[in-house]
Formats: sequence, C-alpha cells, structure tokens
Amino acid sequence: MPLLCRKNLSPLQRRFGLLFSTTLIATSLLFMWSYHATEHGYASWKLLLGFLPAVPFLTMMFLIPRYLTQEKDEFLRMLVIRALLWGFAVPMVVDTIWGFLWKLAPPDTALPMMNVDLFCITALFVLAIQIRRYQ
Amino acid sequence: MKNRLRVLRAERNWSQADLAAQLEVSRQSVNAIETGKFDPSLPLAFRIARLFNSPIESIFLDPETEKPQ
Repeated sequence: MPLLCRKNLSPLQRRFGLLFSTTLIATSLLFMWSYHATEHGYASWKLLLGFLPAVPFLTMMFLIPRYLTQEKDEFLRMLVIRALLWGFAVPMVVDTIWGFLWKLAPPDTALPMMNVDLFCITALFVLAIQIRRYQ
Repeated sequence: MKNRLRVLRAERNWSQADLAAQLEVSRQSVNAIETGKFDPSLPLAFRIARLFNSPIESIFLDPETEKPQ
C-alpha cells in the first residue's frame, strides 16, 4: 500500500491505515470464501454467508469515526471525508446504472455484491489522488 | 482566503515541512493553506499567529477589505 509506505505518516495514521488494510483484506477473503461456499452446496447458510463479507466493512464504519475524532490535522480530516463521500457515491452510481441494465436484460453477475470492495477502492484511490494533488 | 504564510515562512528560511512540524499538521495542509485552497480553523489560525508572533489579521487577509475601493 503506497499510502502506508509514506515516511511522514503519524503513528495514528499508520495504525488506522493498518487496521483499514486488514479489514479490506478480511472483506476480500470472506467475500471469496462466501462466494465459493454458496456455489458449492452451503445454500442453507445463505443469509449468514451473505452477511459475512459485510462484517469487516461494518468494523471499518466503526473505525472511521474513531480515526476522524483522533486525527488532529483538520485538512487531512477533510480529505478523508471527501474520499469517503466519493467512496459512497461511486457504488451508488454503478448500482443505479446496473439496476437499469438489470431491468432491461438481467446480466449474469450480481455486481452489488462488490459494493464494499468498490467503496474501499474508490475511497483509497481518491485519497491518494488528493494527497498527491497537495504535494 | 489569501494569506502571507509563504512570505513569513520564507523570511525565516523554513520549508513547508519545517512549518508543518511546528504546527503539528501535515505538509499538505501547509501547502493547501499557502495556496489559499484551504482556510484553517480558528484554533489553527491562532496557532499560526502565535508561531509567527503576529496578529491573525496581519497573516490572513480579509477578502472584503481587499476589494478595490
């Protein structure tokens, strides 16, 4: 993660960066495992398997306000909030387009399952661009 | 909001990183304030004023009074 490799990160930013990365990796792993499990005969556990990949994301939603409360740099706080807004906006836009496409001709892939990943990737991407912009 | 932060910093031969370290903010914050892309909160503005030993209004320029008469 290039964001985490920066030398000038405060201990708080490094700690929360590691926590976010861990939850992101956990989301991906649980998503892959749940996807594999639903495909291979664990259909009776559908609800639990569907909920499982969202658990790390809920953890992240608990961590982000804690980070924002503890971050002393108000400018960085603003950048993080802006990145989070983009993170929420992009999956919503994609879902809206996907919803209309689904109504016209249902595609094979259920893209909304990837919303968490899309949120994390967008937020991190936007944050990296903004930090680079103010170098 | 326009400000004299870059001038005051240059007078003391401080880099953006030096100023950021003294204000306990990121270098990006100093850059954004200097270029007028981000207006600091009152507590940070007071910290800047204290650091340069100048009143806030001599560092941050009031956009109203900047207008041509």
